[in-house]
Amino acid sequence: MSGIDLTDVVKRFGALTVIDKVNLRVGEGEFVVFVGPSGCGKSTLLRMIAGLEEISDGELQIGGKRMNETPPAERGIAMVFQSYALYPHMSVERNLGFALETARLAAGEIKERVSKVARFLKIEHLLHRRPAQLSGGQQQRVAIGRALVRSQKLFLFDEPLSNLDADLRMEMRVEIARIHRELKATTVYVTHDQLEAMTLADRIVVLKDGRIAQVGTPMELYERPASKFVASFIGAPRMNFLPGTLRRDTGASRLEVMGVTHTLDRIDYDGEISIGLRPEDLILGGGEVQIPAQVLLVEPLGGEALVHARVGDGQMLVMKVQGKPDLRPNADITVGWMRSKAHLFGADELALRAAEA
Amino acid sequence: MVRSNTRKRLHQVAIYSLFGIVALYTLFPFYWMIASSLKSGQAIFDVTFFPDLKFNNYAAILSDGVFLRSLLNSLIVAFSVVALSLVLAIAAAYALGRIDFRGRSPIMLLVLAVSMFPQIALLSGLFEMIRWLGLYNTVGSLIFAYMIFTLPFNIWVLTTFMRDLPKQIEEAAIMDGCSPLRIVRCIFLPMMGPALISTGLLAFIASWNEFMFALTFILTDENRTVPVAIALISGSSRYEFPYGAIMAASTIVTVPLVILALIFQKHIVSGLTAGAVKG
Repeated sequence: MSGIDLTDVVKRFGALTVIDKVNLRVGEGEFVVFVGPSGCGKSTLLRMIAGLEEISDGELQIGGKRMNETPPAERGIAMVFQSYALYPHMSVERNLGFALETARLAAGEIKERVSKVARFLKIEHLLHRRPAQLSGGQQQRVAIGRALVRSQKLFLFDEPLSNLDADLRMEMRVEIARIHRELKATTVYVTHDQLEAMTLADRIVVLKDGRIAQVGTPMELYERPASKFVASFIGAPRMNFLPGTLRRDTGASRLEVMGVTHTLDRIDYDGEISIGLRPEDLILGGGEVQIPAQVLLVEPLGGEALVHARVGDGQMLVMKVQGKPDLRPNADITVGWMRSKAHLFGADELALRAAEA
Repeated sequence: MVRSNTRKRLHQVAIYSLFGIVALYTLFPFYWMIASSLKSGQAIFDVTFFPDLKFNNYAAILSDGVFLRSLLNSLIVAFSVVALSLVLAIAAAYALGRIDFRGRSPIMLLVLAVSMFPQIALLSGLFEMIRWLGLYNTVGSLIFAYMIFTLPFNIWVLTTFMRDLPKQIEEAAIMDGCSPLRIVRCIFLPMMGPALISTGLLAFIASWNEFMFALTFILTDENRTVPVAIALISGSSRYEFPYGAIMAASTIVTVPLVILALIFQKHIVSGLTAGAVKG
């Protein structure tokens, strides 16, 4: 039993509310990722689950038991920190075994569990080194090992990969995915990197200003973002936004964007909107809706290329195209998309959906 | 090429001569003390730079029960001051450096203010306190008095050091189930080694060398510490001033400090240079 239930959880620092009535259920064995820009409260929320931060209001349950007042070590949690937080004066072996030593386990059992974890993480050869003698990736493995050795049912990761360089980050991402697959422990993972969120998560929780902006599987968030904020946060390069006007008619809506008008299924909205288009959904010289544009820059990425273009009076668009398009700066092109791929957001920045959907 | 070589050499000559001057300036009195202590009788009044290596001054001073007793007193006082002020300063530094509470900075300023008074200003008040506590003419009076001066400094240095220890390491220890006492003992103290060594060493030196309190608070010979004992060494008649014995005693008293400094030198330097924790 290691699911997490957050009910109307609030965190205040003086007059400042950093977590505002968050409700969330994390199922047993689930891998949930908290994402959001810095200052959105994702780390605070994680630290509240860990017990490093007091809960001002609301209730936290772990495994069905109220945990608000339980000390961190008794919540059945293991945590991995961004800065690894290894004890610099202890060997890797002692670092791994320290929690067990604190819990007064027999020396033999500590040794056994430490070497099992070391084998699992392939750090056996490092056991007698000090943290300062390890590379960043190795330190991170030890930090994860320190969490694993306590064999808890709930893992918390606080931006564990952000101190690593790109190559190592990918390697460790795969490693964390493997650990979760093999141990099936409930995991809450905080990151500001949407790529980590997309690749690791069973479900993503997008936070903004201390509130949950949207919860869903990576593909739900990608395909049906609930707000302009979520839409621009998930996906890279980020979604393009164009201004448009939506007019309600009997049976259908008419959308005018960059001087081009087309009809859509009826949406119960009338007025200015913004149209979100993912770079990979834009089609060069095709699509159901087409608008004229001017090439600014082509960035070849090898198998594909990013085309930066200008539409109308200075609006910028990025599109992802396959191969290497033969385009020169200032060339006139048409940019198009399928109507079903356009995301519409009203003046309140929330997603608009066709009435029957 | 040639020119730059000569310039380089000149540069080196300049550096080494500066070295030489500084070394001479600081080490000569020390050398003169040792040299004088190894001369005997009237030879001490001749200006010779190479002593005749006679150890009778040392033999005399080391067979002097009063001097040996004061050496022991000094060791007791210095080690007690170091141990007590480190324990108290560590506890204070944990509270002041890691726990958020109202009035933290006024306390820090108060601690600093205490160390700003000149010793002489405190002497009479302190004397009354020591009488009242019944510590007069005991080594306890000196331990008590020296702590007033070593503690504020130790608390400041250790608090600054403790505050800069990474928060996440403490949190990791909390997640590992450590109590505050275990965090301080098993995590912070080993990480603070260099700071502990330098503050401990300074407390040791301060209490080892202190003269005024030691003169004021101690009445009888058997409770004196070495600085006063040396000052009170007298010859067999009032017309004889035993320079040789004083120099020998001074040399003996300096030895523990030199040894301590040599043992811990590496740690002091590494404590000053190594601040970063993340590798």
